[in-house]
Amino acid sequence: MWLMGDEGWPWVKRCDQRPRSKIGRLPKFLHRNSGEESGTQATSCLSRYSDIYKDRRRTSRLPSCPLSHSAMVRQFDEFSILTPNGMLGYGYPLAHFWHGVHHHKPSAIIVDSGSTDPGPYLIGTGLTLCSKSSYIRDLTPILEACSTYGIKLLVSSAGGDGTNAHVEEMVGFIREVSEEHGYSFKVATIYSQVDPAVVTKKFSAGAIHPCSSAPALTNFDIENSKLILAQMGAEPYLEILKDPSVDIIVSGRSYDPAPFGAYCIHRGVDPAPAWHMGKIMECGGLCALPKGNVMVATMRQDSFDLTPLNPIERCTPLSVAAHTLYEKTRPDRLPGPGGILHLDKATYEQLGDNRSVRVRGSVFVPSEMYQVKLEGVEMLGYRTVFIGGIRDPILIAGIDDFLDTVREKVQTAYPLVNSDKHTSLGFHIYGRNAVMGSLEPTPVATHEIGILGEVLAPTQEMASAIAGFARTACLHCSYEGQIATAGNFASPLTPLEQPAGEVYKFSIYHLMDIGSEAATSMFPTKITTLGVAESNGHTNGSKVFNGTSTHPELEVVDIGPIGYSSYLLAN
Amino acid sequence: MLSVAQIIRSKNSGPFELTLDILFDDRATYDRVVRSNVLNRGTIKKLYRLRDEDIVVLMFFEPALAWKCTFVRPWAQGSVGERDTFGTQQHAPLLNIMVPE
Repeated sequence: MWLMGDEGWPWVKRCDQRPRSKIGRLPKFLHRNSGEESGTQATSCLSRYSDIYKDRRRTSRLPSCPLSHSAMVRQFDEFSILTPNGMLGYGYPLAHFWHGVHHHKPSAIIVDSGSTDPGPYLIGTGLTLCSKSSYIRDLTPILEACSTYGIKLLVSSAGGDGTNAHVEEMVGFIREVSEEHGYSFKVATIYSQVDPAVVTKKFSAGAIHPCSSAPALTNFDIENSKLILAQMGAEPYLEILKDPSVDIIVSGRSYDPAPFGAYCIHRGVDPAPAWHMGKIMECGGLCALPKGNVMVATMRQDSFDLTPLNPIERCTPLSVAAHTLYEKTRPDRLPGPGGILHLDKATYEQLGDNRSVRVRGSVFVPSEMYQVKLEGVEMLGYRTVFIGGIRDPILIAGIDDFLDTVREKVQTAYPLVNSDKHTSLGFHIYGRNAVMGSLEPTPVATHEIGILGEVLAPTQEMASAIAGFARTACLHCSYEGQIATAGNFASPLTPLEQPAGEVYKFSIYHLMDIGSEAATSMFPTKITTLGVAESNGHTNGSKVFNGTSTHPELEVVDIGPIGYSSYLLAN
Repeated sequence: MLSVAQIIRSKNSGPFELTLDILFDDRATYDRVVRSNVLNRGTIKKLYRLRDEDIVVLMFFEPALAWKCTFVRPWAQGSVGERDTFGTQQHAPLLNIMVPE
């Protein structure tokens, strides 16, 4: 008999309602685990899935992870997780997404929405990384899949920075889609803003340390941070996941792999493969060749398989092993909240489909002191920029002296420029060393250079006034050997200067000792019901597949080499 | 290096570090580069005009047939004076490193 736990999963019951012809037409390489299983085409949908699940069902060893208490009472069933992309809002190919939903039948769709990479402006300005329409576009198919099939959804670091406001905004997007389509969801939210007073107290107690190569913290940094966020680990998610009626979790700032790791640990996966999978899947299809978007991870207690959903992509042992180099300080030690993942003994095995990779063997070493990473930003002022090109070889040859002249003239008119932290003028010389600056080994100007002038000032008006003065100086200052007296600076844009808004810097990027007992309690949570459940009482979603989904069934064999650009054109 | 490596790239590793990766697609090439010892601290310090203390990690990673070097970001990420917000165009000096046979 089919066993169904509290995470259990109505696929077998439902798949007999699906058109059999579609199953029969699956190409061999697209069958789940075809590398191990026969790949013979099913005569009956029901018997096919029953057989597969029977093969997989086995008595689990007791999980070794103290976090996975919820799994200790039930058998371990293989399950899969789908991620549509490494960043919610960046778009993903719908054909691959629906193929993954229909044929891999994920227990959860998990997608990271956050990053510090775009810079401190996200936290500072309150802007989201992607536009509302991008979030709505990406959420709409996901919510259809979740509503139709009862798949759990976890969205982390809402809006890019994971502020409380962006968690609410993301829930608002989900509400909007749900109301439009008649879905109902029970949504849990987890918040990650930290009271600066708590940080000050911890700092006084010596419990805050620079993360990676950040400078030492000061009280000034704490007092002047626009707000402070802490990256949550798995624990707040695990607490929410205890309630099986929660359909969706939207969280504030999280360690990127945390929702992936937490969901798997909740389901009884050992911490090492759970975290290792999370580290790879949080980047979507970046571990595939060519790099892609939609990925499925098939989880077992001590290993996992990665399969890209675009038929032209494949994972190889090297492509997966190499992923842990990506944007990490070192590839063999991945520190996170609660412990460090050691990858020295990880193995990567190509499966028989020649496009999936099985990963096992990493080791999770719990930390003696549970730490969370803090993020905070300081506002520096307002920026106005201008750009222009120089083609005159005499001026290019003497460009450093010329820009010194411009700088002196500006500083005479505005004495605070380059003498005050909040007022500055800088030049980037494209065609020489604008990209690498002090790192450039060959700072040699070409026959044409572009100059980006960057002005910082305490107000936007002041920044624009200084930029206007500096840009005019670039146009009209004289220089040694000058023979072109009409002007020096080819301006491509009008207006000639562009106000660029508020500017911030990362002022807090530090690890705070909190102890494991606070790993849950410092992140407040809230439960909301959305959609029709708001007025009628929550019905746990319209989770029975009734064949009325408006989404057309995919002709899987006809997917072909759908690339990203054709997806964009088609959608 | 351009002709023997499969991937040569750079990226932020958080807001305060830049990291360089070189990946090879076969064991023989990887072994050749390891043996040649051209990807040492001296090479990177010279190419990127770094001091010893700027280099956080410089290592080979055998499971991925890869080499990695992480160093302290010389300018603030995403702030005034930023040149490369994501840090993805700092790899070019690696392309011309000569790898002995």
